[in-house]
Amino acid sequence: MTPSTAPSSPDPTRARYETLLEVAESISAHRQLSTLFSDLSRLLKRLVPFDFISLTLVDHKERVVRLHILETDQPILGKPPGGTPFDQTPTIAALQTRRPYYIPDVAAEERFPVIREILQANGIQSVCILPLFTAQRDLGGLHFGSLTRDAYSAEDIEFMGQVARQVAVAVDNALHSEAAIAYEEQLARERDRLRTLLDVNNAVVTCLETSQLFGAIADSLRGRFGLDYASLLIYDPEIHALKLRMLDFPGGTGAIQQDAVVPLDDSLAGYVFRTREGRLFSLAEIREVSPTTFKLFSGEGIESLCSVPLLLRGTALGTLNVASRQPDRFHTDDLQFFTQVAGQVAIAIDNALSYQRIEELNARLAEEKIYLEDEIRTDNRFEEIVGQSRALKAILKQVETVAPTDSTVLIYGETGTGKELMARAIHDLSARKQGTFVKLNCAAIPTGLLESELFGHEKGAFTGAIAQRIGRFELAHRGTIFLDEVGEIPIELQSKLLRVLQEREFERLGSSRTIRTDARLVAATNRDLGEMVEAREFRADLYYRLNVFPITVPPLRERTDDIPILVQYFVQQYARRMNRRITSIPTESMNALSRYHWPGNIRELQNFIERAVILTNGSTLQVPVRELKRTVGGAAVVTLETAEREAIIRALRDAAGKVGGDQGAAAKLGMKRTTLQAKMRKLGIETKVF
Amino acid sequence: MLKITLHDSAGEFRLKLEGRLSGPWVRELEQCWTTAASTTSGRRTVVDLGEVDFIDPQGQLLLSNMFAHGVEMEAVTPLICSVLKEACQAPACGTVERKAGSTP
Repeated sequence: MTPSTAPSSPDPTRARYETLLEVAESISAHRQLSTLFSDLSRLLKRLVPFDFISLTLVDHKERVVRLHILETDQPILGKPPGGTPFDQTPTIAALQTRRPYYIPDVAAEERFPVIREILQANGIQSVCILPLFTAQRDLGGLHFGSLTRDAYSAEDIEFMGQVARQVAVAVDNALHSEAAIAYEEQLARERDRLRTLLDVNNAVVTCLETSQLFGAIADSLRGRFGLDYASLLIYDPEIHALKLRMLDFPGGTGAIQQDAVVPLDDSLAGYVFRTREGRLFSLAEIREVSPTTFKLFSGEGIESLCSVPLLLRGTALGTLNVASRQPDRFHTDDLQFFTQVAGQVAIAIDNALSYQRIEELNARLAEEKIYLEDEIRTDNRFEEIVGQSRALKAILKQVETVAPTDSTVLIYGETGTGKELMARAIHDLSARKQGTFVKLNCAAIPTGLLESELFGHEKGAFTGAIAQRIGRFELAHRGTIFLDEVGEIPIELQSKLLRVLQEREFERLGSSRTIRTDARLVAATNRDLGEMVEAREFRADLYYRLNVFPITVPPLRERTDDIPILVQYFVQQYARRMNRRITSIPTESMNALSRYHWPGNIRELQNFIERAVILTNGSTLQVPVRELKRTVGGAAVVTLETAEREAIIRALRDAAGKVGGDQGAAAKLGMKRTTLQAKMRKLGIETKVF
Repeated sequence: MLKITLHDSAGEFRLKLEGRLSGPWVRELEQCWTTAASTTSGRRTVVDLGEVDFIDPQGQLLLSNMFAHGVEMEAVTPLICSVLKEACQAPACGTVERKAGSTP
């Protein structure tokens, strides 16, 4: 570096005033300090000998002075990083005295050794520091340095002081301007974020279904803040893990998949979910927390990630995760912003999940209503159990004993003996009487539909499943389910029934979601399940599970004492319904009714009495006793089973052994082919005999 | 409720129905049949009504239409046979067929 010298001037005072004017013009012409300093350097060199000119600014917060701008021909050596502390810099000394601090011989400077070393390292022999201040604040210093010792005269220093006073105003303005620009940028950033937050809010408040909601959140975040990846993981308490419910990763390789299950203990999202604190992660930090997530994300080129928990009233619902392929893409203010977004998303998800639960409950209530209306229409005639016989009392005693427990009950009994009435009595006497009593006749439902009736199905589970359907087991939650003709359940469905009885859980058809039910099972059959087990038509494990508390309802012929009471009960019921007044029943008729063996049991008696009431004109019941005698005569020698067998065999002979078709035995008997085949299996009749 | 099971074999296309052919399921069956019709050229199309409990007037109308397009009907129970007879003006029970047929 060659030492500079002050240029000679014919009238130095005039030249200095002219230069001061030019400095003032330059200050008004330059808004930026860097360009102003270049110009100042050029102007002042005409009058003041210097080899460098620099501007230092005071940082009151950190209590250091930092070199801000330097104009020199050579790069400066030994510049202290992070600034020079207040007590080690002459700038502060100049500011405190409000006077220039002149070091004529740098080598002799003892007060500021740090500065001396830097100056010496750069060959500076003398330096003059002019304080920069305004009435409001101290700004820093303007430094002139020279490679020659004692380079500045008192006039030079006076002149530099005048320059410094003008420069102070320019620096003050520039600092105010920079601060204003910084505030403006910050405001713009906050405005953009609030706008995004509003967009997220607007998007999520209108969505009530989770699928729509996740789509809306993805749309709101897409393309903002340079995000390459956004996902929502929601906690599923049934599997105790997080599920990837929303994924917006257009540039992904496919390694990260929608609906993926993410364990809580070996994942980054699981870590954030557990700690309930949002965090920014670099790739290295991801590796520290979860090697599995690191492997996945590094394979996708992700470099930085922000993960925040979805918190609602102190409960974590899941996590919101955004990531970028740029390193250090996210900062503390981003974390705050995404925490705010997560708060809104958590409210929306909670609303959507509540809406989903309400929808499910609504659907269940609607199904229950339809079912109960159906019940009222069809079954209100069975209001109570009528009879005083010893056989009936013994059964009722058993019902009373088992009802308060939650045990499975298996009711045996011929057709028409009142098995359903017993099941209702068990329900009514149990703690579940406030719950629903749901019944299903397993023989009355087509085999292919039975599973759907029992367990329900999801929309689209099979062709024809046009809507979601709640099964009877779900409907009977906290109530009782009565499965009549349980022996007719196909063997392939029995295992699923067994699982419900043992585990109390099942899945709807077409769904992988396990549903728990607290339904008590009461089953009934008129078939010998023990024999069916031996014939491998019924699962033994299910049989033992059902046969916890068997009750056998006696046929009417074994409780003939109840016949007169039942007759009187039905006569009164039908007379009232048909608006008749029947006051007496002939003893002869009552005796005939008591003598008859009633193969169809109470149902047959009930229908017979209904017919008798219709036929009655006066106040005395007219019983068509002849019908009873005729049937009694035939029935004395032929059981119902035998009669059924004979009818089937006769029909098969007529049809030459053909079961189905318009000329088949089933059509002749007026029953379904499948029903006839079931009966044939039960009775051991084979078609090839005919 | 109605369950429709499709059996697609080399010789025939069979729609096995279980439950009640009524209400929205009539449209569902029609949709199913229309969709299948594009692939059943040259094969029999059979509707198995053996496990059907009930058919409403709209269902009858659809079966009548299907029958008119050459679809064969199979029924077992007297009720369904009677409904079919009315809908298709065909023999009461067993397989109800129409010789020449075309798909819709």
